[in-house]
Amino acid sequence: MFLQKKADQPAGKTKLIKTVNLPSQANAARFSKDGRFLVLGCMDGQIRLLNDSYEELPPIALHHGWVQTIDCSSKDESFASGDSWGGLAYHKIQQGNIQKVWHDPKAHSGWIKKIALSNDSSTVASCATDQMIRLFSTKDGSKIREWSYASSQPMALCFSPDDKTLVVSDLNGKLDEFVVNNGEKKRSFDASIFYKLDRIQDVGGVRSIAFSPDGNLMACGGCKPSTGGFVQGMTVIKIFDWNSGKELKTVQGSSDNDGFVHDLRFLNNKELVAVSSGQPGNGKLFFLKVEENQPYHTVSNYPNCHAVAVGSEGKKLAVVATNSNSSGNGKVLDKEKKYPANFSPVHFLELLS
Amino acid sequence: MNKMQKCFSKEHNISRREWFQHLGVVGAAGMFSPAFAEAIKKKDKQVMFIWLDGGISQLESWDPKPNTTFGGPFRAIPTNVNGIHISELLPKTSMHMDKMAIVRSLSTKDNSHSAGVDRIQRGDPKNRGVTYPYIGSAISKLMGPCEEGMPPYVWIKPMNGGFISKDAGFLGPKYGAIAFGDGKPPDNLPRAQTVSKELDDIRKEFRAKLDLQYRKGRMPENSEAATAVFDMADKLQQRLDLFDPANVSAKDAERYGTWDLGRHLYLGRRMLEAGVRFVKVTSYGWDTHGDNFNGHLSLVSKFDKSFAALMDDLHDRKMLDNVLVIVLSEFGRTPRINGHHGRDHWPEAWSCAMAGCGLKKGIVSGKTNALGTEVEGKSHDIGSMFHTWFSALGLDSASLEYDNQGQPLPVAHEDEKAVTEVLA
Repeated sequence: MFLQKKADQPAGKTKLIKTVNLPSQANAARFSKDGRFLVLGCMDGQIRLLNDSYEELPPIALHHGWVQTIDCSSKDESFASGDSWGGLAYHKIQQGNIQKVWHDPKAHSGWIKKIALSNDSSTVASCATDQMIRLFSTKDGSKIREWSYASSQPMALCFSPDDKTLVVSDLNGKLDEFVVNNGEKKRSFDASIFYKLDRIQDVGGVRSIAFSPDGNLMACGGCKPSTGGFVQGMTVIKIFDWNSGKELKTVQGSSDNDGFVHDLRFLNNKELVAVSSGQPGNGKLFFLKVEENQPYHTVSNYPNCHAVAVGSEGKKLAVVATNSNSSGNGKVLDKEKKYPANFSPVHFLELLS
Repeated sequence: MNKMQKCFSKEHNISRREWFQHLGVVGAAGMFSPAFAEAIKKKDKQVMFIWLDGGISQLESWDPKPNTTFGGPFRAIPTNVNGIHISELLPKTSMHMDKMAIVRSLSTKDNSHSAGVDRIQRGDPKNRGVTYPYIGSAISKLMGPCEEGMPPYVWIKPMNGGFISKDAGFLGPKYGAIAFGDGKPPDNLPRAQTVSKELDDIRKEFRAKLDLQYRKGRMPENSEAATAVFDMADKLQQRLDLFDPANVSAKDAERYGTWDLGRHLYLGRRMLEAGVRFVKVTSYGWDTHGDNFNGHLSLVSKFDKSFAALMDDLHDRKMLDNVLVIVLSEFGRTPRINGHHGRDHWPEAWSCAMAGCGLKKGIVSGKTNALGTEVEGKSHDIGSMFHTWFSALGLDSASLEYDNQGQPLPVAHEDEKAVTEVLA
């Protein structure tokens, strides 16, 4: 890891504080409860933490494949992580040290696509390509409950504000609400705009879900795919009234190159922030007011963003992007004549009022 | 030499005949000897060529590198052959590894589709100013139709069908592919209800006479092609049952999958059983520059189910003794994972999977390095695979030659050799 000497300075809503280049590409990022640590899930199977001085702590190397998903507790200084080989782990941060609470390398038999911690931090929920939804105790990793999601491929999940239900989204453009205590399906939300069958490829999926702090709104993100293969598509966010289940709006981007909304977070009850990644070099960080139909602020100079974390009560952001020139056919060599791996620059931003 | 150019010179034809009579090259003479042709015919070797257009990722299929920089999210799983692992996306196929041969040392030249598709399917021979035939046309020429007289080269594909003459290159349009778009027979193939069998026979006889008249004094390629197409249609008219969805059992539909690749592999198997020499089945949409891993999760999972069903059937029917199965794309995909979580084009180090006649069973030949960025040891260009396939089919590709209007041409790149490690 090294610090980038000079970083782009986006105008307007955000102010760039620091950019830190990770040695690997990252899939997920969340701030710890007190905002002092940014926890990142990386493609080299490592969990990386950056402290508030932007220094990296020793990486945690217990996962396999990709560390696909991270969630930090909103109650204490702990976090959960899930990997693409089905492994799940739970850690505590104590006085700047990371302590493993438990690790289950076989929590699932497939790629864990998303995990979510309950608001009371007692439970971690997970969904994977084995088409199972599972709940584990954060205390000791014991399995609390599981149910099959065989009708489709789960992509994301999130606890409802009261922790009584769990929303699971899928590849085919559907969100299902399940009762946590018994796994029964309570209701469904249509998000079929996020799916396309292109030739024989199932394309798209609802990639991200978030609730507003007051629990009245549920937002989900993905893209409206137009092709498989390259996977071109316009960024889409849908916002639902949680109590009535009524869809309030669908906000759609204008370019087929912008791709998926991989991550979105509410800043407060009226605004949310999201990141997208599409064709290499494309993708955006953007801010949306729930009563408006278009983003009120967009930052385009961070290409291929895959995660956004919100810290310090909505005053600080970390955006996980991708280095420039990340694509190319054939053996594209770097200046040292080596075949390079890509990496993720992490942009720390201050939100201006 | 322009193959479409009319040439009325009889001397030219005579000199060609003389050239053959006096030629000392065993292969060229042998290729056209009745004994040689009969020997090939008796074997009735056939080919199932599965083309995954756009480029399947070798890392998410035949040559996984789990837990490495470029390995992606997936694991490798053991197969039913000790020591051989393939991607976890191929669980059903992994149970057929004992019948398969994988070459992991392909290193080819083109990283663009426009050049790669053609050069790979034509075997990328030395440039002699002619367009070489696709492998299907080459087999059609070298081995001819099977005993049943069905069209020697059919192509089952999504979208449009028709007669695809361009595949034949310098061999002439007669050796082109008859394409069944969306797995359906050509339009107007069934005899119109208003035309009786007797009337149809009269019309065919009349057409044959007109063909003969047309041929006089002309280069034969075009008239031969027209006649061949009519002959194919005639044969196919007798086998319309092959295309009837009512003949597909619910069990087979479930086993192969209802997506087009599944339906087309099933039809391909039926075509082999009916006596087609070379069946190409194409699946489009494998060019996963974006969202490669979710893409391959969807694509390879479907391929796995359909391919395993095909292998089950070919094995159960003892057809693998005579059928050469090839799974190929125009290239593999980059180890480097781009910002859209895609993989780009990668001819440098990739794989070909095969099974069936003339091949060893349960073998992997060649090796890439730990990151999958280079072939370690000997690499193989596509010309080597052509030699390998010809050898597996009993053809001596080192000595066989085409006759391109008097110009002898090797059937595969003469500087390349077969991957002998996989040959039985």
